[in-house]
Formats: sequence, structure tokens, C-alpha cells
Amino acid sequence: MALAGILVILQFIPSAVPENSAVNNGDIILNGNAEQVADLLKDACYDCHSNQVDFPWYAKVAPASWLLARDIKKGREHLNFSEWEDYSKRNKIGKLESIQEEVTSGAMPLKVYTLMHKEARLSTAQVEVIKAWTEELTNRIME
Amino acid sequence: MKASLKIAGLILIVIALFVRAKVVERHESLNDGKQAVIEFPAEIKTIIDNKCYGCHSIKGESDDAKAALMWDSIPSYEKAKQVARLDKIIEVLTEGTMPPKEVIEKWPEAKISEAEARVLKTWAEKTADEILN
Repeated sequence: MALAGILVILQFIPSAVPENSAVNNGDIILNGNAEQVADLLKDACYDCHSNQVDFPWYAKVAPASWLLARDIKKGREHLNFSEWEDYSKRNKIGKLESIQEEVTSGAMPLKVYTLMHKEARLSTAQVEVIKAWTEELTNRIME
Repeated sequence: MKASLKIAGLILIVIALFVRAKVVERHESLNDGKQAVIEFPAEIKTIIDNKCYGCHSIKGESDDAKAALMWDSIPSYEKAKQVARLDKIIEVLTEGTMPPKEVIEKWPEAKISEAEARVLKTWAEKTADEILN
């Protein structure tokens, strides 16, 4: 009873979950730079690294909403696929290297996320596809 | 005796020429466009030596730090990796996350001043731009 009461009270604390945007002209997929990994990125990365988050039902329920708000905010700061074309060449190359490191080491997608999103779990083969794509896009940017 | 000495001398000269040719060839292959030549002016070298090198070189004790960046390896990386490393260096200098707090708590002299960070960052930006253009 007391716990239920606390949960109700928590709902009145604002969580400031980041907003989505309908138009994303700088999107990496829209601009044809991630064709071979489009579905993988959408399933495994876009919920934190884009302006097109597929919000789950608990996105509005505290305290889950707080964690979600923090992860999306931090995720977008580091890498936002919806604003990819706005990055400088140097930033793109740095970010592609980070993407490769993060997925190869298994640090990304976050465990707390894949626990709730089975479709975001990357197989070894999928990691290899992402790795090959980062190398191919890096080479294209360097040309 | 004299003839054999002459032959030995000749053989030595031929070997020396051959070795030199090999060295030149190897040197050229390191500069075939895959790596960019990166210049470290004295001012930059001093900052790196004093503020970064303790961890980001073979002297370092932290494997994480060495995995993240080895200053001495940058010249041998391919251009894209050189740019990626420089991008990370610029990022940590912008965010002020290096040297890490724990390191500065233990060795206050490791703290990078605003002026030093700015100089190093400008150098890294310029170097990355030169590789990309």
C-alpha cells in the first residue's frame, strides 16, 4: 500500500523525456549512407541515438521514465543518427570508429535496453555487418 | 691475397647497396599515402609529455588508457584511424575529461591548463583537417 502510494507520488515529478522530431533531413538512412544496416540501426540503436524513438508504454511511468530520459539524452549527445549529415567529416570518422568499438566489445546496445528489447540483441554476424559498414563508410568519407 | 680482398670488398659494397635499397623501399612503403606525416612541434610535445604521456605511452600502467590512445602509435596508423584518434583527443579536451579527476587528485601537476588544452586542441584540429583535405 505504502509502495503504491510512493509510486503514485513519483508520477508527479517531471521526467523531461526528450521529444521526437517528425522531419529529420540529416538522417543517415534517409541520405543513403546506411542502406545495408538500416534495419539493424533502427532496431538496435535508434531508440537512444536518433530523434525517432519508439517509446515503450513505461516511457511515461516514473521511475522508468527517468532512466529512459537520461539514456536518450546522453545517447543523442554522443551520437544522433537523425542529425548525421550535420557532423563534420572528422566527427563522422571518429563516431564510426566508436560505433565499431562499442558493438564489437558488446558495450552497445546497453544490457538494460536489450533486456527489454529482444530485437535489439546483436548476433555475431550482425556485429560483423555493422563493422563492415563502418569501414566502408569511413573509406567513402576519406576519399 | 690482394685479389680475394678486392672480391670481398666488392661483395660488401654490393650487400651495402642492396640493404640500402631495401631500407629506402621500406621507408617509401610507410609513406605510400596510407599514413599522413604528423608533425609534433616542440610546444605540443612538451604538453603531451607532461600531461598525457604518463598513461598514454608504454610507460603507462593502465591497460584501458593504453587501449584508448598511444601517442607514439598515431604516426603509424592509417589516415582514417589518425583522424579518429585526433577527433577523440579534441572531444576529451573540449569536455575537459582528461587527465581524469582521479589522476589529478593524486598528481595535481598533471592537470592541463586551459591554455595548454586550447593549444593542443588547435593543433589536433589543424592536423586532422590537413589529413582530410
